[in-house]
Amino acid sequence: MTPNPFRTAVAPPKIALEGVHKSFGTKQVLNGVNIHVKRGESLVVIGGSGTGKSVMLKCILGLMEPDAGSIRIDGQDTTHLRPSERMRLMQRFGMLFQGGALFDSLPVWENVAFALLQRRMPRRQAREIAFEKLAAVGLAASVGDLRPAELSGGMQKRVALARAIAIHPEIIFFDEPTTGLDPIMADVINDLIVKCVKELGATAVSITHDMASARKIADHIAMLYKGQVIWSGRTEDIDNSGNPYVEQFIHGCADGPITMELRG
Amino acid sequence: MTIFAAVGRLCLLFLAAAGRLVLFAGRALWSSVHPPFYPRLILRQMLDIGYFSLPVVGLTAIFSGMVLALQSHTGFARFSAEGAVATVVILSMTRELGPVLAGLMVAGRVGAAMAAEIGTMRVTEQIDALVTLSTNPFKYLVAPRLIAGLLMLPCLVLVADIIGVFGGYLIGTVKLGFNPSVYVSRSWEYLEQLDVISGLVKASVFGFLITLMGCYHGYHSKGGAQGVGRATTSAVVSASILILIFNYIITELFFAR
Repeated sequence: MTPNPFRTAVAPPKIALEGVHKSFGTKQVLNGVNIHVKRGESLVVIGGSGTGKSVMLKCILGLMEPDAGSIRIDGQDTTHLRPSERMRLMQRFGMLFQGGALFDSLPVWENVAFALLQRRMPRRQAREIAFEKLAAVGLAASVGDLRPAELSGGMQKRVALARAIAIHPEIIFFDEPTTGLDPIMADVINDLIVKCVKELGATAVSITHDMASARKIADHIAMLYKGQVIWSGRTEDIDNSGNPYVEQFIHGCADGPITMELRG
Repeated sequence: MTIFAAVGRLCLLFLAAAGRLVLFAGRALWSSVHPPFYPRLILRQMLDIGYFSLPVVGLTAIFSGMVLALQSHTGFARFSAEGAVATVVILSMTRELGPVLAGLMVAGRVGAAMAAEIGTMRVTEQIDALVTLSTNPFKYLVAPRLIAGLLMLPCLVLVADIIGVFGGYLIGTVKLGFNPSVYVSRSWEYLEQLDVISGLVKASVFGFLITLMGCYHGYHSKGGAQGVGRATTSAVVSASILILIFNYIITELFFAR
């Protein structure tokens, strides 16, 4: 098939959320979220704790089903996929979990090569690729045979990143990539994320409440508050957003329109 | 009115839990018979459930067999039926004590460990990570454990039967003064195939129940360390109760006329 120039001009966004609602019991967590992410773009969603960032991410990943609204990947609605289709879609995703979520029953290299081994790649070949990926995130080969529990927090994050990029995903998700790390390690992880996303040419969606991290890895930033996107724009514009909620959040003030609900 | 509401709410909660459990069991069984299979994981679970439970189950069985011989001897002496000791030991071991005691011990040992392991995987997002790596957690985590439980418990119980009968033989010949060859022939005399088979069928069902409860409570655990602790307790308690209930049901199916 020849590429159609008119087609690319109107190519659907890589990820499009429209009117996504999700509630747990009587608690409305997502209240009509609209987000568009273009191919190859890095979007960071910021927001305080409990504003629905994680739930939004889990809805896009398909770990949760939204109550209403649509989530389209490359224009295809993914909210009502059958399990086999969902599994196929997952092969295009990579995900870095907040705590790493490494499998502690497996050595580090098998963690990195997990998806490859699942696809029946020979162990020797998978092992080689795993060590390549470990090197790409700056880890020595000797780490490969350790157990995840023997690693520091920063090293676990790196291994988790190596696992997320091992199958060359089209879309990578980062859940609070710098939480729990010291500022220097956080910056190292940010650099690695930027590097990996660029090298893969992937689309990235991250959630964080760390502004330093957001400024570093984002092309676009969206702010979530009470289950809705209240501001979105380019990273350069965030300091001139003119939005009091954003202002308060990026300066980390206790006083402002956002009041912390201490009773959930 | 509030009393009715409370009772109604309890009933609904119970029915919802039962429904969830049945759906879980159905999904787990379906995953156990559809590819992909994970032979390495199945083997590891078989080793863990079968081989590493041997010491615990063996000890339980030998002392049960010994105490059974002693008790039935002193009890039956009241109406001069000491001769029945060998038969009582072998029938009780194969039909009841072998499967039930092995089941309860494995529930405590393996069911708890499963709930704790899968529960920790749940609260540290490892189960979500499995899904994002296009792996079905039912096939990767639950199915190997169910298959191993179904297959290994009968093997364990067969060993427990033999060790238990040997315990009875030991007490019978050393302490109670039975002639060894008479004791052995008495043991065989009234034993039927069905006695052993019913015990092994029970064992298989118990193996299924133990692993199912371990996986179910682990899979649905939430709320950090406390949640995992609660899941572990629930797994052992519910498996033990189900073992006793199903023990009665299976006995009724096999032997009630």
